[in-house]
Amino acid sequence: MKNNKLVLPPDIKVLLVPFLSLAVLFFVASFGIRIGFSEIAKQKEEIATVKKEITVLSDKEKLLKQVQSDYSQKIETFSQAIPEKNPVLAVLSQVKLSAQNKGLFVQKIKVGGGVPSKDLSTVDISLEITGPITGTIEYIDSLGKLAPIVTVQKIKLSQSGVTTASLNLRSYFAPFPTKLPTLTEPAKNLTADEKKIIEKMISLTPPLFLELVPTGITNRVDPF
Amino acid sequence: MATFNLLPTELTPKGSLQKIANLIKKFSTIGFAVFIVGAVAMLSFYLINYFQLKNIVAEQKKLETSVKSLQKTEQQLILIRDRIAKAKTIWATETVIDNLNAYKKLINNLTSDIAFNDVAVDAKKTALSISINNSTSLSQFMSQLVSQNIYESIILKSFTFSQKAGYELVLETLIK
Repeated sequence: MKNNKLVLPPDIKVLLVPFLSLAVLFFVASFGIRIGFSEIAKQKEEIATVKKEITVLSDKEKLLKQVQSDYSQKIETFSQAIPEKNPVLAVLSQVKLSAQNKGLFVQKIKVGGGVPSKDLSTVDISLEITGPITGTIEYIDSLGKLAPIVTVQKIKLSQSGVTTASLNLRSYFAPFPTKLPTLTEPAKNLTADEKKIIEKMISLTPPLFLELVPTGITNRVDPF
Repeated sequence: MATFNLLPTELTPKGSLQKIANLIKKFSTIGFAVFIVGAVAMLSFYLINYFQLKNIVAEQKKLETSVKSLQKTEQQLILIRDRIAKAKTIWATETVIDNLNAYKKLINNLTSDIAFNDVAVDAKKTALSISINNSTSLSQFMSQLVSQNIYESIILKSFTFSQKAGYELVLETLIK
């Protein structure tokens, strides 16, 4: 009978098992190390990203809470200072009221077409003020403290007994921002310069609006 | 008692090879042990990271919810920033008030024999038309104008004299 068994020489046989076990060790170790390290690296990367986002969100939350407590009640001031739509009526009301308070007489009011723009539109107003010189100058000064924001472009003063001042004023309006940043976009703190402007805007005199309250249902008298 | 090796000598491996085989066996055993220890360490590290990640993701979600609940305030902040930028632009271009303030300083110290007829103030310059009764007041006014040190240039546009009205000056001033 023929022997089919592979007979290995004893020298090779003695080395085969240790070499095979060593090969298996290298194979398993190299795979294990590669997979293990890549998974841990991924985790580390993910942790770093999440930590970064947490910092951004935490800063944002802090800033928003600060804004909420400081400016939430005064938010109308900002939209009154530079309104969304042409503020000419509010400006005229403000300008007349301010003149009235200083005992000045307003006449020859003219409203220009204005310059529409995507960013900041303007509307020009010209008027004539009559009254004493000190009151007139005080009045021109006070225009800078009104909301909507008014800037004086040109002044012509003529004095013959009373002072007549021809003023060229400009008021501004701009559409409200429509885009919100993404949730994880960092929010910058308000700078000292910005806070200064905020204080100036808050100190502006807002226009007076009458709120008409609707009357309730009343019993109608039967005319017949 | 004597020991016998009944194996034929051709079936016995060489002594040196047997030693190498034993060395490799020891090496692989130590290697496996090191590998097992390393694998356990790696797994522990992985689990620590896994739980840390789970905790910080929960914290992140909590913050996201909080920030989302403050969305109205975020809109307000964006409006405030937008209006600040615009107000800054507007106020940066306003220079008439500086010229007006210079004029205010000038009229504060006027004597009764000096009168301003017409004043035109714009962003760049101030044009003044002044009537002065006598030469003493004229020299006082001119020295006062120069000593204020707020003007970059003072241009005398016209100078007239009549017995009835006195001196009449038209000046154009540019502030610094």
